Amino acid sequence: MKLIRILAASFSLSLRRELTFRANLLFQLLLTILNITASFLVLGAVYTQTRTLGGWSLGESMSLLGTFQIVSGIYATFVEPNLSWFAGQVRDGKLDSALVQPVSSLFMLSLGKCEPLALSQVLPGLLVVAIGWHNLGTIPTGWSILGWLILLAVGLIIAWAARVLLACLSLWVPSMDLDVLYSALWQFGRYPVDIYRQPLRFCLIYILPFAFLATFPAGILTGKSNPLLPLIGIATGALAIAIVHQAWNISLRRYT
Amino acid sequence: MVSVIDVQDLTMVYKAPLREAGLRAALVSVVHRTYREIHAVENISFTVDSGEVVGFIGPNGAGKTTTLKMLSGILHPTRGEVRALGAIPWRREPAFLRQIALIRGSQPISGPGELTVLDSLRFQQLIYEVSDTDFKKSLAVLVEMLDLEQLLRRQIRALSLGERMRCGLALALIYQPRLLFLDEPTLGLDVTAIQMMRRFIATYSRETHATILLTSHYMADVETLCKRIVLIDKGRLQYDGRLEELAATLSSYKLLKVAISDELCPDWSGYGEVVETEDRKVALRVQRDQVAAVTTRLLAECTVIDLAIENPPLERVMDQVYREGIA
Amino acid sequence: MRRILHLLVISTQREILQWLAWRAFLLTLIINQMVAPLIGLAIWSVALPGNHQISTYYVALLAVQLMTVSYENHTVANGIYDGTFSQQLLKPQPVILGPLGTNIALRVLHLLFGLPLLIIVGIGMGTTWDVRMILLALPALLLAAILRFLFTYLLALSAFWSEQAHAIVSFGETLIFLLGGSAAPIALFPANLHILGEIAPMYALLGFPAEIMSSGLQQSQILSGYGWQILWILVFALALQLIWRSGLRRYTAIGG
Repeated sequence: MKLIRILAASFSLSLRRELTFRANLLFQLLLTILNITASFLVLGAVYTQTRTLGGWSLGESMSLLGTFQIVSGIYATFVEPNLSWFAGQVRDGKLDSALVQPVSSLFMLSLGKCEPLALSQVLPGLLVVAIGWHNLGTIPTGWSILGWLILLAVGLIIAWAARVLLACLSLWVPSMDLDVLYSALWQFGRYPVDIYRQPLRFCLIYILPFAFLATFPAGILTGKSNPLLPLIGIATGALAIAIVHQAWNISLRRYT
Repeated sequence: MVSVIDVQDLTMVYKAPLREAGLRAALVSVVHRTYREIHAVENISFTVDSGEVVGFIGPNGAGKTTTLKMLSGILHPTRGEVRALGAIPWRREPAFLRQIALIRGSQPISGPGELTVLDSLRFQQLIYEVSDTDFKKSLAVLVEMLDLEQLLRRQIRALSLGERMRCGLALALIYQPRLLFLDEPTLGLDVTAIQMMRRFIATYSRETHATILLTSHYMADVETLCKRIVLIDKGRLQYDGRLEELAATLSSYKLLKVAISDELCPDWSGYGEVVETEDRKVALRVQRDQVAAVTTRLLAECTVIDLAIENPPLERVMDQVYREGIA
Repeated sequence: MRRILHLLVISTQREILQWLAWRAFLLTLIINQMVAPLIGLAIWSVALPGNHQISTYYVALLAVQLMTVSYENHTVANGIYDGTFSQQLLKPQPVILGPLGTNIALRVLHLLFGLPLLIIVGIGMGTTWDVRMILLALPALLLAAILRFLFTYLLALSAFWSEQAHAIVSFGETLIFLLGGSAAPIALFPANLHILGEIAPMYALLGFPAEIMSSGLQQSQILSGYGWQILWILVFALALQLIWRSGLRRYTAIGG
């Protein structure tokens, strides 16, 4: 309960903070729109050449793109502002000040800050998902929407977990700042994992499961995936949380 | 009395990678790394009682900050035992963390700079679970003592260093910690701010009986605030006791300042080494064991209107300690 | 002139050494640069199966991307923000030499570290090369490298006026991604956008040399492409002069 209250307080504080920079807001919106237009145009160009891309039709790919946009927006709001350039944060003593607070240091460092304006990316995402449905000409069932929501949550948990694990890594090897690498790999989530060749596809499904970001949720939504996938997702998410807790504790012991 | 901090054989050893300059060494270090062990803190033991204000001093790199970090639970020592408020710090139990504060002069506030001071205080209230009544009470006291009224609605990033330090203190003290670690609280402050900080720390310790462990490079901080000092150098404990005694054991002479009303000044060099004279005043350097004899002679042979026996300036004594160690 | 060249060589060497100390980070930057072309390669080789020319094109694009990377938003804009730029002004040499040295150093290192992956992908995708075409593309590559530097440097100089230089540069990069032939080869653009694609500076600084290398252009197209490259270089060089002067006036008046 206390954690949720802290989260709410930090959200409202951050919103107050961000509203002081209006130019930022405008620019962010502009970038979001340009980005989503770009992806849209790419899809358009691809589907003039072919009817399916790795087994995904245009409408399905659009649902996927929209889902990716939604996940990215939520991630950019709640997770990304926290652990970026973690090795640098450790050097400036941010970690130290989190450690002397009487709240879980993992929570404070990985979720304590947020950027409410990034949530604006979610709306165009929803729009794109809706356009995708329209293009498919079908209405998703309640179950598939539920499965989609569950897998969205799982995708976010995995994204958060991977971020924390990277932060743990930089406690062991301070020169390892993998922020750039992470955001680069993130881009692979934008398209169905089925289009990637073998070692990469295996990685995206089993090792760094970014397939959960968009491919799996969109697959459930459009009825392409195994209906049991949400259950597997829940198990994967729970496992990810457990691993992160262990890794964080072990790494802190190493730091301290 | 129960001790608040109890440190036994505390030791911290780091491994630091080494590399020569130049491209070749850079390429070599890709595959082969050499390390050196750094003994930041070695076998330190001491205890601090409730309500004590202890000065923790030593030259740069002596291991002061490392020790403070171990006492506040940020670092896990390589060896040794610590009990602070009855808890093992590095377990970082919330109950323990709620009762301590670590304030660093180099970085008094760690939160985001765009928030106002009051916003940040409210956030602290939430994190440290301070009840509304307690919050209001502490806030009123802190606003009064630290003169914060004008600052509460300002953004943190727009504060000057002195204001930032005052707000940092308020943020840390709003939850009334029983144990305070102050790491160079007067770093970079101007004369007025330093005075204010010293007065504040003294008042706070008197009124709340909080235990305070303080590091500083300004001997005047330590001199005004701490009866007791713990001196470490190169990671080892060099001295633990009263400040005056350290000064006394270290310097073999005292400064005798005398003013007389006689028309004719005597030959001062007969009493001791003359440091400076002006009109009918003189400062004499006298061997410690002869101070009593010289004073008696002076009082007998001159019309003394003022006489003071002083220790040599502390900064000079510490400089000697840092460079030569305690003999 | 000889002195300036000498200074440039020294500055480049120093930057190479400097960056070698950050090699782990450098590697993540390189991977980040490779992601967009790799995703393009994945999509298009799935959309147009058996088309080797498109694979060749994307591998060429990957190479061009690595050899023309520009990070002036970091090297220049950040210096303006944190005031270290003032020290550059004190040195008895043209200010552009510093960023140029960094730029060249980073390009050398990007190519060097990226080469193994480039070769693996090139062989794995069954690409075919025509040596004459590669030779014909070399001048275009050089011009593209110059144009990319001017383009990014120009956008980075917006730091003189705005706090948003990073966003402005990433806006420009999204445009390069979209119109430069990375999202989709210009030839596959919808017909009405085709012309726009061919004359845009983004194509001149990225897609054009790659298309020559992969033998995708006819002689007349190559000639007009070179024409556009030279024209854009002149335009950007002129704009840079103007922006630099007025920006500097502003900087020295306000003091950063």
